Amino acid sequence: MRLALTGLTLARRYLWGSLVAALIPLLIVAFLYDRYSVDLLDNLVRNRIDNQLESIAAKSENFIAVQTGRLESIVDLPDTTALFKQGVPAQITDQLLDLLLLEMESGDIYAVEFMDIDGNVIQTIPPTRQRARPYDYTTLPFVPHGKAEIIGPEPPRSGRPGWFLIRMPVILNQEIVGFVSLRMRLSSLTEQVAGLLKPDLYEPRVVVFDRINLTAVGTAAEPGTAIARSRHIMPGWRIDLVEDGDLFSEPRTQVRYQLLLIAAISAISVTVLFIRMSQRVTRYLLPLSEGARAISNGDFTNPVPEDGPGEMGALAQAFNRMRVQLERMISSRVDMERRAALGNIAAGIAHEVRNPLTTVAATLYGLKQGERDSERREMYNIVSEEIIRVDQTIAEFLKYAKPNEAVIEIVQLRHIFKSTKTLLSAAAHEKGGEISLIGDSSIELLIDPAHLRQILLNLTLNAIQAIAPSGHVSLRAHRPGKVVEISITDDGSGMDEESVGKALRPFFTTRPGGTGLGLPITNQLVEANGGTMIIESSCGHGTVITLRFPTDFDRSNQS
Amino acid sequence: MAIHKITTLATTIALLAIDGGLAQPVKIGCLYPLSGPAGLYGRDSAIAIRLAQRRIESLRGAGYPELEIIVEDTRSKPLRSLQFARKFIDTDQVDFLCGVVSSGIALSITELARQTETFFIGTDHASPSLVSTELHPFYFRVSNDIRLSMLAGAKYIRDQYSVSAKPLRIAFIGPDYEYGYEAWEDLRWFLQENGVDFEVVGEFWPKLFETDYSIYVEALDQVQPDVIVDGHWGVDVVTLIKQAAQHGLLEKATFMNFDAGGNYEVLAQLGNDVPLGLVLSARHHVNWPPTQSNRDFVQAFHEEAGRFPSYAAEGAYSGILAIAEAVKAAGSAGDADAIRSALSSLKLKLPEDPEGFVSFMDPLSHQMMQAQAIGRTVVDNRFLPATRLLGGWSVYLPPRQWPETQRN
Repeated sequence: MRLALTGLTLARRYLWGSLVAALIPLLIVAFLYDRYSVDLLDNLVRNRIDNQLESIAAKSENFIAVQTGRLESIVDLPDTTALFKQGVPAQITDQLLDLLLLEMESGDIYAVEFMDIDGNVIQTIPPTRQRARPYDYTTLPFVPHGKAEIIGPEPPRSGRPGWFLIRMPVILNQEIVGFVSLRMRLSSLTEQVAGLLKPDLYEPRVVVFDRINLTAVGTAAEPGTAIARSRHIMPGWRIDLVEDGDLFSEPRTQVRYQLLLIAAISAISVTVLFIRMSQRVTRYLLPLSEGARAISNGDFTNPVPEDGPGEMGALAQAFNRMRVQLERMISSRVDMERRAALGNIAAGIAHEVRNPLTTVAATLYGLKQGERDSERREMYNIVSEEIIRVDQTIAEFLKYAKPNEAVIEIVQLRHIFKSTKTLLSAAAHEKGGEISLIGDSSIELLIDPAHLRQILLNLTLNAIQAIAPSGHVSLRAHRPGKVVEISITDDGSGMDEESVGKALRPFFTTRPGGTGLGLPITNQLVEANGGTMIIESSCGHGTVITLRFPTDFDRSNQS
Repeated sequence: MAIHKITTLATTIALLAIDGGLAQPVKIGCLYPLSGPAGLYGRDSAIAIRLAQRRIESLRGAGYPELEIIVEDTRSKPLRSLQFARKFIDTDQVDFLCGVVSSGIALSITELARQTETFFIGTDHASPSLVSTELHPFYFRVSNDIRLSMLAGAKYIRDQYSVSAKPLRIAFIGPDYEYGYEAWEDLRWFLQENGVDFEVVGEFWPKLFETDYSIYVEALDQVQPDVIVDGHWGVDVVTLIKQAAQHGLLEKATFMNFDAGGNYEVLAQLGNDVPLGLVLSARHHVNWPPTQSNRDFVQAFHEEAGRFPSYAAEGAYSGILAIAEAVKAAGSAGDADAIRSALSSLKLKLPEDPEGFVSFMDPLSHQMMQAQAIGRTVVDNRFLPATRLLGGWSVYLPPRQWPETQRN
């Protein structure tokens, strides 16, 4: 478990490390870019607004300057001064009237008013009699502006538009004798700021002494939040830009937020992607980890799934190959060690038992030849047979411990089958059974013929010994694909599952008088020729032993 | 070129009149803008004057006087207008001044008429001041004034919105001079008089002959009115409607103009740009009233000019007929009291009079009382180049007397 965790942690650690490595630059770049664009935007907007404000302020100042210039021209006329001479009835000459009408044709001036020193209106051009006079100027803002005075503004009221006055004193003999004022159209001044209007973003206001707010069309407005202010265009008069709606809906700001949103989506996507990758890698690594743990516990039976993508699948395949190879190597090693031990034992037996036994047999033969007593001769014979039997057992044991190497040649299988049947038919008849040969008679094999003969003799003899009287043994050969399959089938007593499992172990036998070496030696011979042997059996139904030999058997494959 | 032609025309009219043979022709000095933003009004008026003069000549046997008419191009300039008026009085020694499109200029001219005791017959300007606070014995007006237009407009609004649960949100936009102020003041007065539940959400005063209304259109949009009452005339209405339509404002609020917006000239200039459903009126319509007299006038004008008349034409036509009728009734142009008396009781059947109605002079205000027809813009291709004319008429006959308001 600790191994598994360690492996997974490593994979996760790599993935999370990569994630952090990807995200930190992304976030830094996004942050820096955002700060940069905000600053740029601010600067651009600020510069643009400041420039526009300055330009509009200059335009407004110029407008006032032009009107003041007009007023000054009127004030400086002798006909104007004459109006204020004491003792003379105020009478506007046609020339002055024409000039005033001409000055008013622009539409920016509602009227020219002539006032005495106390502010009483003497004359108004154009002459109208309907308006109540005088206005109460004392409540209006009043500022000096150069030679002139600015009075007002009076915002629109009672269905009439707003106005303000530009007033200038008339000086006669260095004494102020009266005033001339232009009643100005307020909208003509406020319209100067119309260029600053940006609907739904901000709108310009002409602000007078912080208490009168006028829109571009000259109507009174509620105070708003100023985002920029101009310098004073006249004392107390300035232009404000106030918020109108949502500044965030400004297209460039929207672009900025879209970029930030894209950065955030990228970060989230990368995180999700990395988590998914981490989970996926973990899913493929976990079986490998568990497989490795099983192998360390000596369990070579559980393969890991090989359905992983790319390198993961290749790793799992390699792991499985490694598992099989390791199992084979360990198994082969054990076998080699066992055989080495058996070889040593066999050498000892051959030296310590077989040699004296040969001496005993020779001696016994001499004694038997000189013995007349038939009873004793019979006893010698019995001893002699037992010595032969011990010698055969030792011979079998030596064969198992030191098998002969296979000498391969092309073999006609039908010849081996026939000779096997010929050799064993007597034994089968003796048992009351029979042997049958089935299969493709043209099959050829690359095999050691002595080994194959030995294999078939051993297996067929075992089968004959297993069958009941009138039992049946069959040898069958066929070639499914690139292997030759030989099966030896009997309908004898069969074996239980446990016996099948132990059948290939040396010295395991269920038969009285058996050595328990027949099947192990047979199996050895099969493997020495590149084949496999499978035993299938069930009690009371007989046994099938299936041998498979490759048709293109190569000796190099034996190892 | 146009000015030259018109001046030649005026001179020809004068010569023809002299050639008529009467010893003492009636001299009339007319002031109209023949060029500039309101030039079409003057040009139409000059043609209508010619039609009127022909008609009077055809009636010479019935006691109508010989007319000598001089038309001068004021270009809508106050000083130029005043100087021509002085010339008419001092040099030409006219018996009557006539014309003047702009109320602002008319106020200067009427003051001169008062001072010089010269009859001034107003044919086009519509400010109520001229027939109330500025009225004098030598001034008479033969065309509808805005007070009568606004009275009809208030009744129209009352008729259309009487069932509205909430106060009607009205915004006003009008030219920044006397005509505009008085239109708005009178409309409010008559709305109250007629019991209309309304709320003023904005008042805007662009300069006369403004060319860019964008900030005003934006301001109108911001106050979210149900109804926009426009007090402009001439090219100003054309420009405002175009810019308001482009902004989408006319889809949000009902646009109304009761005095001059339905003028043929406006509709002709806008062509297909006139949105349908605008509520408009004018002092004369080419397609209303459907009388023979109106059809004849429109047809005669078209034959003379090659185009259909704006309302200014019918106003000028009325002015000349009124002068001829008054002189005929008074016996000569020399007796001021007789002329005044004749004008004060004048009844004149005009092309704009619907069946069964005759325009009559209100002796107190010297204002001709006339019917007002308000319509909505509909597709009508009978008077090209205008493709939208007024239809679905609501007709309001004038009261017996020119209405007084709280103001005067």
